[in-house]
Amino acid sequence: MKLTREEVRRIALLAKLDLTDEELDKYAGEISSILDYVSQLKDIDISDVTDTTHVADFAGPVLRKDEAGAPIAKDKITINATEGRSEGSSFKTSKIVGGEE
Amino acid sequence: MLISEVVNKIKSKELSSEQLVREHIEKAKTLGKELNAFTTVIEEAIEKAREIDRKIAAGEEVGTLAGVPCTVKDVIMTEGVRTTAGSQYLKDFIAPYSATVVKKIEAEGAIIIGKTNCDPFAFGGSGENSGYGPALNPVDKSRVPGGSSSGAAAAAAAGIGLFSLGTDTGGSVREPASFVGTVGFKPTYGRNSRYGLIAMASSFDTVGIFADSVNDVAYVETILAGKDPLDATTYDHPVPDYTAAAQKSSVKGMRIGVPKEYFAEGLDDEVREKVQTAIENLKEQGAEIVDISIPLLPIGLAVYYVLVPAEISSNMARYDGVRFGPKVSEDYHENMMKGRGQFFEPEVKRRIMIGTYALSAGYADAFYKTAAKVRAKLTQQVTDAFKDVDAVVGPTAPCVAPKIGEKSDDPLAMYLMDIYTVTANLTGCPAISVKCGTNSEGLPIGFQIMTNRFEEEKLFMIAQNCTN
Repeated sequence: MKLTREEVRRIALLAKLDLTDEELDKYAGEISSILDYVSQLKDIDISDVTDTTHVADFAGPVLRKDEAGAPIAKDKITINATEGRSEGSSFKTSKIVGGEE
Repeated sequence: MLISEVVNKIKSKELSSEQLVREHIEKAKTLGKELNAFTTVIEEAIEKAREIDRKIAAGEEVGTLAGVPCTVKDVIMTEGVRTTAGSQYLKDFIAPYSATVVKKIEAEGAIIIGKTNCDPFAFGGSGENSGYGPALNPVDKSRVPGGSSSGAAAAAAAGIGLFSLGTDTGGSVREPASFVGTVGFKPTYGRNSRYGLIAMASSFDTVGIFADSVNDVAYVETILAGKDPLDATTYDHPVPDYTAAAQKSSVKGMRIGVPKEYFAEGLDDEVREKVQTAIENLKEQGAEIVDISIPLLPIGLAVYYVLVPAEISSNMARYDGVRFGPKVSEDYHENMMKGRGQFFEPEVKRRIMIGTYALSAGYADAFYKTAAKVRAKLTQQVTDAFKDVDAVVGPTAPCVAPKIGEKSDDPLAMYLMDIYTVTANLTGCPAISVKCGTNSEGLPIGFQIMTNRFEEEKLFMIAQNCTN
């Protein structure tokens, strides 16, 4: 199975990665060889297995009680807000909602 | 000297923590730099060491790791300290809080002297994918130390820090431990908290330990293990004294399973020979060696390279250029696309792409769902095997440490180095790598032991026996 540049471009868009044509061609080859390798999975009989996402088995409830804990201070959370992106205790970002998206 | 003995000397004022930490920081800045083992060396650690010495002088209580210098892999958050995850994307990221495992060792008085280099977001098996250059193997500097906990392994083997916290999602502690000749341990999934660990594949990730001896690993694991309210996947199981278990060191009457699938093609002859000698030694110590078969073992790697990239592609969606990452455009969408495209290392992009493909419409059933079912089936086979045997043993890696650049152009060849280690992550079992000899060139060979889930005590008992 060999992915085309266009297929790889479609995946890159889904993955929100801006890639050069050179990268698209490189990944087309590499991802194809990995997909070939993992295609051996289709030979395994899994008719007797139910859908599963996790191997851990948790007997009890995993959710904590709905009680207030010790929050992380706002000034710590915004420590990574870079210049021009932070105002006080908030993150300043570009417009996310609306526009042509 | 054992970590517990160092702590006793510090507590009895025979040894000053400040002096010890100063020496290790000096070593991190010289030998550590030469090995490119660190992304950040924490000089302020000396202040913390001085504080431990002061407490001891004042007769105050100190913990079980009082004054002990150690290192932490750079995918584990350390409050106020730069945490890069080995990626240029996070080169300026300061951790806003500490991981639970970090809080636990610091509460016991451990002094973190540096953040260790690693493959970006822990994606890799050699350390060569790091956005900060490859770490070097202290045994032979022309070779890789393994990965993804490359700097952690290099530091541990070079004697920088008395133990090192790493992470193991597919072998990232055990495989480098094998390549540098130290002890590397991966706990049961859910035994150690993942809170504050920069996520790779959430149903696989574990925090593991590198140290000189099984005793030291068990000593640190006794501190790390346990339920964390901040990680819903940790278990409430009691935490036994693993150090006591390690000191028992007896394999008499134990049934040790040797799966034939671990000795099939692709295994280096010298590795095979040394691993077989280690198995013979266990037999001489009174263990019963049982030939077993776990038919799906060889397919584990294929399962891994579907499920892990799938979880990666989901986890990496948080790097949207708003909360993290460099700003390259005023436009939200362009900023996300370009920031990720320019600052994620090639292996990061490759894994996100594989995972996105495996989860995309029309392919999710063929890849993700199939792999998840094979994972469940393999787990059943491994669980069944543990009804008959106490442990499953074999090589940690199919080869010794490769030369730098030897496999870096061939992702699949690189992935194949994980073929024996991924089983423990797929099934959630604990496993450990101990050195069982060297090849004709003097390069270390690792012996892997895996036990059933939550049977760390047995794991340490057997491992201790292999190093005596």
